[in-house]
Amino acid sequence: MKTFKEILENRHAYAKDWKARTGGKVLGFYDTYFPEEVAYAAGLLPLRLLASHCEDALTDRLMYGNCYCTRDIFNQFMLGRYDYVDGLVSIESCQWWYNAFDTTLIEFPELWSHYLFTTDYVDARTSKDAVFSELKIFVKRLEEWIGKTVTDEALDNAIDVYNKNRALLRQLYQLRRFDRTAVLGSEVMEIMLANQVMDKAEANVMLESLLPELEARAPQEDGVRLMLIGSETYDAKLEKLVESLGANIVTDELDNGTAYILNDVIPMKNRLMAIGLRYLGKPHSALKDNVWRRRPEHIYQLYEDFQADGVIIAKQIYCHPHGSDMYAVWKLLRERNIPYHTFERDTTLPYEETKLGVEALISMIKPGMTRLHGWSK
Amino acid sequence: MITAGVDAGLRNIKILILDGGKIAAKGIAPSGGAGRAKAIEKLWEETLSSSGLRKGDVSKVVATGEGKNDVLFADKLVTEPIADARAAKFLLPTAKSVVDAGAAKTRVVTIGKDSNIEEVVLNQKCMGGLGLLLEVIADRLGWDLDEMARAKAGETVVNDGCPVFAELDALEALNKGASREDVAGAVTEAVAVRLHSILYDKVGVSKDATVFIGGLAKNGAAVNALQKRIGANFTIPDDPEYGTALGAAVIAAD
Amino acid sequence: MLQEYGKWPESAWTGGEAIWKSAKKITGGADVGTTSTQVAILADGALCGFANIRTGYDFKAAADKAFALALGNSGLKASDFSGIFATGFGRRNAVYATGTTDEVLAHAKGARFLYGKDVNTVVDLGGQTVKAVRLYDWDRVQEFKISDKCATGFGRHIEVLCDLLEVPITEIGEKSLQVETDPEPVSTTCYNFAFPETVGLFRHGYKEEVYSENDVLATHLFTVAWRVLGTVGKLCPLDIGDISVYKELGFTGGLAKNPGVTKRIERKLGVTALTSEYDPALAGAIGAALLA
Repeated sequence: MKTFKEILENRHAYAKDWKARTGGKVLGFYDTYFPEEVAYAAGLLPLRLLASHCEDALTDRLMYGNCYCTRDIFNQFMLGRYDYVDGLVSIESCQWWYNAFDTTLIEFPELWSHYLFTTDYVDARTSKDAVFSELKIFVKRLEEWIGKTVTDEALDNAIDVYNKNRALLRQLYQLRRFDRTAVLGSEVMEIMLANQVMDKAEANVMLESLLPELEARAPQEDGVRLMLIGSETYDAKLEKLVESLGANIVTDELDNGTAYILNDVIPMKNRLMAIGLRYLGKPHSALKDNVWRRRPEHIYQLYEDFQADGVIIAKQIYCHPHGSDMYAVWKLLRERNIPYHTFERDTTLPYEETKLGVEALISMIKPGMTRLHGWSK
Repeated sequence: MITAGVDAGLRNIKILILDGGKIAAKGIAPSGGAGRAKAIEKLWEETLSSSGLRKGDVSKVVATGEGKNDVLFADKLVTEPIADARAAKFLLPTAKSVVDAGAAKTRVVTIGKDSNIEEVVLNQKCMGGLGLLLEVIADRLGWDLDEMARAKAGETVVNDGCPVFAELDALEALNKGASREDVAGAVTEAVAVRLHSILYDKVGVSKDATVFIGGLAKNGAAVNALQKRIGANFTIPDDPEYGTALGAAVIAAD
Repeated sequence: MLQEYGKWPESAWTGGEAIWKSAKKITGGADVGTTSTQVAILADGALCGFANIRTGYDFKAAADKAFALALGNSGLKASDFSGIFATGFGRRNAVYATGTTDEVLAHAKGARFLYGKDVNTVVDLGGQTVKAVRLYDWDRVQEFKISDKCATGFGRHIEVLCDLLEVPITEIGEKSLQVETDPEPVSTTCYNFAFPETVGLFRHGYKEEVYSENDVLATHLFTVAWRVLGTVGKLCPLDIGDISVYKELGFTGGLAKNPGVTKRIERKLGVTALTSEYDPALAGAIGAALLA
């Protein structure tokens, strides 16, 4: 497997191969609030569980009402596709993730599991202490499981690897800045998704050789520049659809997009606290955007940074965090005269139906486009 | 002893007349909306005259189905699962469970001692209308419902979680030029997936002692896909849509 | 096979020679939808031919047939047109088209043609989707909303309901309006929930008051109107209750001909929709022809 795209498509094979090569254990997790550095320091492969679209005659009775992503992940366990996963960890997140975690453990009690609490009010005064004490418990349990201690050196190494990974991915995002668009949204999304299921040290090696190649590309005309926000996605189909209509997704506010890479762990003597602070300081996800409501402004900031022309809000059906988040985002976009289009999707993306709205958004923006290409020349 | 069972369903009304354990006559007609009571009355007379019987000859009439209250000449009303169970026992004395898949609803009934019902599983709301979905798709394909048998599995796949989305996916496939057989195959498969899910909702059905009735049982492609999926061999009567009416007529003969 | 109650009448018309013979510029528009297909022909901006038919299973055949019907016996050929634009779900099947356009803009343009320059809110009531569009005074889209995936198919399934209830589709709107006050709507979550509930209202003895046919139709169409309002309401989520944005309202699409739905929406919004001498189902095709 040479490219990120291949790894994404064969992600189960990649993880199995990793296990065979390293003899390590695979720890599945659901939400990007999970502090992967800790698991990585323990020699595990922190593996983001990604949804696909499997035939499903099960989840209607076992997980009725859940969103289709969480249902599909559980279904993949039932179909044996995740048979190489040794442990599961659930981070305090949306109810559907928790339900997927819980239901999986009912069916697979032999899996090692841990429920890692983190506060919903990430900016509260006591949040960092709560998260620190939870991380201490988590490390203790991990040590019992793997039978060795998680040393400070191992934590430092993990922090370095992850900080480097995020920095490289930020460089990748820069390749779609307004003055020099060299990559397509679909390419970036495939790399981001593959990166989620990879050993970050290996991903870093691949990124280091790939980035100069991409940078050397001639800048492309990207037509209408769109930003993608909403529930997370597990493929690049929407990006490809946008590209087929003469536009490009140039940035996003997604859990597995910019929210994954924008801030780093700032090294401190207390390593666990440093890691905890990174996750608390992450751009607010829709679920954790309580009281302070920083998310809409953050979205606007990204929109401006990447000089997008409009916004696509793609929400998963039955996704409750993004459903309740929508109002505040709409309000801000409307106040600032930013064209946007909201639609609901599930694990499949019906082409014509989705095109209906995206195409209308693009042709709504086009006649009024004031940002001329080649300004910088 | 001559008895009759009336099953007033969402889509069709079914009447079956039983003479000493043998089927003497049967009739089917659309449910007729607000005029359902009249439609039932009319079908009742037609069924009687087709068999040369008069009203006085029938000693007892039992009605069932969603519109059973519209059967004004009924001597007794019973709920559908009870009729299903009795029909299953009549058709297959060793029956342990019965599946009734109709236009709007799907029921799974497990049978205990003395033809009593043990457990009933009804479809959840999102899985209603499976029979109707097949009918709507057949109509869109320009086929009779029976012609859905031309379905064959191809590359087309439609959403198997929701009939509304399934229809949308089917339209998309047609738009892209998929053949009618392909689209029918995909929809049939999706219906089979749904049925499978309902069948194992609470209790598994018996693999060799299950009677399959209801209008949907007429759709060979869907039933075969389902049987293959769960490795079962259902007992399907000749006219499965009369299943519940048969059960009602059997109850009337008690 | 479903019966004929749900089948609305198809239509086609071709104007006399006088209109198109002298025309300098002839353009065409085809709106190939999920449920119905329309073709409109404009000669110097005036409607000189149209067709409105059911799409059926073969999108390409429907697109061809509608075009042939709109041309009628005029003797016009595709090459006589300075442009033909296709729009709608199945636009790729209109092989005679010289270009395509998105549906939102097509319906907006078409509504301006049907209802005049004043119309600023267009609600397209289609077979599968509902689109609500706000327009600037000039022909630009200011904002648009498309119905959620879960709200799909309410239009199309009115046909199915008509078959089950044995009421012709052209009559249900008027019939439903004969009730004094609208009964409570049934489930508005999704069509598949609403439908059995509606039909179930006929269950005698189930409810205290016995529903009449008109009551049931009113219930269902009120449900549809309610669901449509969910999409329309998203146009102004920040000033709910401020209906001023809906002042000049125009309906397009097949369901626009069902007063049971449109009148109820008007009632809720407190406005009267604009009317037109043309068939509102043609809006998409006319819009595409205007853009061509």
